[in-house]
Amino acid sequence: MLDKLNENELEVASKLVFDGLSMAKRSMEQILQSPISMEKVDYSDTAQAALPRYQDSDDQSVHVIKTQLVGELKGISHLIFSEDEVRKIYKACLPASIIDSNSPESKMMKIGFLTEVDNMMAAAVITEFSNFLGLEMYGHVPSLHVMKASEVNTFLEKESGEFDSFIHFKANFQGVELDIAPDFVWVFQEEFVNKIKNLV
Amino acid sequence: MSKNILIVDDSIYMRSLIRSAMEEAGYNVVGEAKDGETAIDLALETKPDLITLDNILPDMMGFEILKVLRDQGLESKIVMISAVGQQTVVNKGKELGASDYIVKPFTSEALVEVVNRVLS
Repeated sequence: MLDKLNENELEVASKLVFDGLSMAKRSMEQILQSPISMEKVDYSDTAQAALPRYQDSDDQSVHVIKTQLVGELKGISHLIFSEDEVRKIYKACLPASIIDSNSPESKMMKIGFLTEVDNMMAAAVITEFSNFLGLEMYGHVPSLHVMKASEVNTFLEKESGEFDSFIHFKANFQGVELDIAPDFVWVFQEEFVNKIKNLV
Repeated sequence: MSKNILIVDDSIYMRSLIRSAMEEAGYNVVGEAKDGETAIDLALETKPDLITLDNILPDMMGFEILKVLRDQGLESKIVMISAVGQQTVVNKGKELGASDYIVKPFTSEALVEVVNRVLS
């Protein structure tokens, strides 16, 4: 699908994605109160857009937080943390009384915090895209999916299957202080390409 | 007498954060709602001075809730809260009668400042 864009259009699309992800990085820094860097951005329009980190993974739990886009451009975002990263984030951001408690309310607070991180990061990208493309779009309420690491790529492939044609953007964020490196994976429907073409 | 606040947000984490900020600033939180239907019922029942209203809820958009409340004649001040900061969205909220719009992530201090200003 990317080959439908000429050099100029591809440059615009790349800049838009980079700017959106940069805003997400900034939101993440604000929420986690810790410096984050954006290490890598990949584009792909094939179903084989697997994350290498999870290709030969063990059975460690992984938290995938999913936000469905609603409005004039359809898509899905996924923020992916390992179990270990989730623990580090809780330790850095939540009070010990919540981290150490297994009460239903504490569990909901922990899940609520993770989904809010995703909500704000996804919204940062959505805002950038919406303002640039002149589209009305929102992120729906995020949902948390806990799965084995070895199941992540199958899950993402299935998500892409919701669209006849799609484009992936994948970024890896690094938080050196917190020792985390979550992946942020976006799947957009082909309409994204048409919107770019209309704009340029 | 302290002013009454109703908090509307689907996330228990955000509700807890907003409640703490409001209570520390001396406001009285009269209720919390995690969806639109509950928000409308609670707002009409408690008639708070101010509602903090998340724009994306599982069953309704904050805009829809705002319109229903205004149609019902509720005059509470409304501060919309959303992670989405699109200018068109911010303007739409204000056109529908929201007093202000705050974009996540925000600090407790920033939220209290907005609420103080709207209620002053």
